[in-house]
Amino acid sequence: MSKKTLTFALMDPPFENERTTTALRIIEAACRKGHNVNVFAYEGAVFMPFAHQKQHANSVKGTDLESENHPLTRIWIAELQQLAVAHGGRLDWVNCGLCVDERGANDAITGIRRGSPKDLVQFLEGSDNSLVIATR
Amino acid sequence: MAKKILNIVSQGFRAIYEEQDDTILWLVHAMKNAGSDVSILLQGSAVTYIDTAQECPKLTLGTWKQSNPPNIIHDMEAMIAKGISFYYVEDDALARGVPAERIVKGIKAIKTTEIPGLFHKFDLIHQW
Repeated sequence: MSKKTLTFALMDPPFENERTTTALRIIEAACRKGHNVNVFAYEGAVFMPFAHQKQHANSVKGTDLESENHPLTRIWIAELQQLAVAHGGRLDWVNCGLCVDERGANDAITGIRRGSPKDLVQFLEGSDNSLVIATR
Repeated sequence: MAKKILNIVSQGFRAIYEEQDDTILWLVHAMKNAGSDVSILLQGSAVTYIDTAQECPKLTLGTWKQSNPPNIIHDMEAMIAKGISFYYVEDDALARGVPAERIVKGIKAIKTTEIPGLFHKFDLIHQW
């Protein structure tokens, strides 16, 4: 199978609905097959790679920090960055800069770029296909 | 006396893999622990929470492996054991094919036409 370049436009913030997990699972499958993956994170999705996300215990369930092992999207995205490289591809993640400024979401994990709709256009022009997973 | 609060959950599976539980069930559980008189009505797609055959496998992304996946049935049973009343809309469960023999114990069925009557038993109705 030939290497493809795929662009995903994501819009949902983390920890709100199942679309975030679904999107990252699709991206994982693409990375695992060695495809080049572009992500344009728009609106609340810019919080997905936010560097200050922290795990917490869960007093309602009685779990401590370790046993709760709470998922963090910044960790998932870092995993996907490494997975892409390990399979001969790349994950290029661009956060919409205005969306970042509105939310104070400036501190993203390493490898996340700040960009604009122009980056989305460049992604789309250079992609074999694209998928929008928008807020509903 | 605490106000009686009915919390309606109409959409299931919102971020349960990220949060490792349903966020509204968790919140209502925490409110109960804080002394609130809370109940839950499951309707729409959320009625599938009552199916004991459901299972959330551990998620893997890259090398990250989930060790504590969501277990909605366990959470509901714990909440029922603490005295939180659970209701589900029977019509919605029938429409989605939830088998009667697989419904979690201790949850009460109501028909759509009975919802207004249920509302009259509560001081506050919260549609989440």
